[in-house]
Amino acid sequence: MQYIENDMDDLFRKAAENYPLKANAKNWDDLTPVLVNATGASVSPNTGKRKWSLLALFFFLLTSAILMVIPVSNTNKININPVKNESIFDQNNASVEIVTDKDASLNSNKNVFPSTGSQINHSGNNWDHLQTDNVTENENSRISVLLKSKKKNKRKMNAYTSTKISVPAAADHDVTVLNEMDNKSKIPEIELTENNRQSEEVQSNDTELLLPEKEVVSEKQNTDSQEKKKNQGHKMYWGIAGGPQWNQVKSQGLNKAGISLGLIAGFQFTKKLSVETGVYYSKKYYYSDGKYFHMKSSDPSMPANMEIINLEGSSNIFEIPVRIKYDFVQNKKANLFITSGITSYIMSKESNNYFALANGTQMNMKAAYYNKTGYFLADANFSLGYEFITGPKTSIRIEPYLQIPLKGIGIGSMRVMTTGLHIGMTRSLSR
Amino acid sequence: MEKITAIISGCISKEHKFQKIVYEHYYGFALKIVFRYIYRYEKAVDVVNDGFVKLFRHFDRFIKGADEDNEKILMGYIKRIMINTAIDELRKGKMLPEIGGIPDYVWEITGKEQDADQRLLYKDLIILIKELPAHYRIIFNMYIIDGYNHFEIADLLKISVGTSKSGLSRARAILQKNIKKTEQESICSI
Repeated sequence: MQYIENDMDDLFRKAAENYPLKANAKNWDDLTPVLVNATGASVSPNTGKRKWSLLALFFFLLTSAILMVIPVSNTNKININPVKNESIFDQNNASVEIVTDKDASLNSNKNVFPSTGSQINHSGNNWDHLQTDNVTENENSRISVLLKSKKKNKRKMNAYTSTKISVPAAADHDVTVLNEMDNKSKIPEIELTENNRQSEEVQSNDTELLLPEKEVVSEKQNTDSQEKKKNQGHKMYWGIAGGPQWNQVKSQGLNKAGISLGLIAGFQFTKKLSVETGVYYSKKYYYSDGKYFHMKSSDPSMPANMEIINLEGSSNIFEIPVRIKYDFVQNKKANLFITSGITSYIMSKESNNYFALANGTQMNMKAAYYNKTGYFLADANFSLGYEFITGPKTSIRIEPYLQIPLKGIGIGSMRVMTTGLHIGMTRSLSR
Repeated sequence: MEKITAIISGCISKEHKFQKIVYEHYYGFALKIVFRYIYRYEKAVDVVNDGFVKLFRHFDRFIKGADEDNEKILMGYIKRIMINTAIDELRKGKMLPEIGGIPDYVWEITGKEQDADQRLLYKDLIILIKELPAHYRIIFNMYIIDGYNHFEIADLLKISVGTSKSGLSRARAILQKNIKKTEQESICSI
């Protein structure tokens, strides 16, 4: 029976080698476009440097685009009319000079009520419009009043604007400034008449305004500083982030994209400085020449005289980063930030497809390793990100990053460099 | 054909001129391998082209040996890639059986060759292999004709070694039965 089987096997081997099959269907022209796309997209060691150059260019372009889009403004100063003596309204030959400064009001001690009758009527909620009425040219008087302007925004921040109004007005005109009232701190109507030259009296229904001017200013100062402290206060936040990543060993070229997904926890020390940590689950794919795979730590089940020619591998890793985040450009709608830190790994699974040489024969071997292994301070991470502030507590961030290996990981102790993109959302835990 | 080492170097550098030479020279060799695994001729042609794309894409992983050995190494490399591609294709089709017979136009038999009878016999034997169920066909081809051992077969097909061995015996039994049936039919026809 064995002889018959052997004969049969030999017969089939001869048949396989010599059977008459037509092979005229070959068409190189059909293959060329597919080949160009495939090999054009494929990665060879020579294109590794090109890929990194492209990534660097991408980082640069992204930074430039963001800087061009975000209006960089670090001051809260509002200049309605920065040029002195420039008239806003010119009614009846009256000129009004207005300079506003949010913070100036708190320090302003120059609330001088007109000694002459200059009348300034203000109507409506629009503080920018000041109408002059019945004003003559002959008299100059400076009126400094505290006006409250209500900012209509989601954060409900109240800011005080001091308005120094220089009104060349005739003596016999009244000055009336109508102010908008707020429930919390009312600024009363201020009426100044001709007969009230020393009219520093303020008629008001609010007891707060019966206080002398300095006390009012200081009280407002305290409220404002408390509010500032509240806004700048330490706060914790959490978030989620994820995105694709690409890995390579020793600049040998990128393999297919992996993925990284995880949770962020952060603590904001100052307005611009935070510290973040978190846990990410990432799947890394990489390729390497065998010379970067160190056989000493390899599986003992592999043949001793086996030489790894190259390998394709993947790893499942839990990453624990600790990093500092610095917002170097801040805006009410968006921030630009950088981060820098260190990441530790816990590798839960590694699987490698080896192309090896053993006893003069090339062979493919696959192996998977399930021992959980920790790598403390495995890489240094850097990122540059853009954060959209979508609400009082929430923001969305886009963050390209780079991880530079500090030590080898995996069964072959290979140094895997990672670059990727995180898109995430964070939410503040503060009240 | 130009020196094989130069051709291999050209393919590693992804030069189309050398890739074309390899494609045209080894196309028949690759098609004969794949046609033993894939039932339909047109599908086998597609698989061969896919295999060549993979070959040229990963040619940088080819390890050159001595000049006189390079052709053998290359043929072994091509064979391995073609077999893997064919198995992937069969997996995509979930190893479903195919029917319909093999059309005559795929065979290169004019009847005027000196060994025409021999070629006809070989053709019939290959048809018998192709008529095996996909799992048995793969195992038989890999073990008997392509020289894989049961461990390698088990690893590639994600089966146990026992399954590979039993698959091979089952394939042999079916082939023996079909050979006898064919012989009886040919005797009867005479």
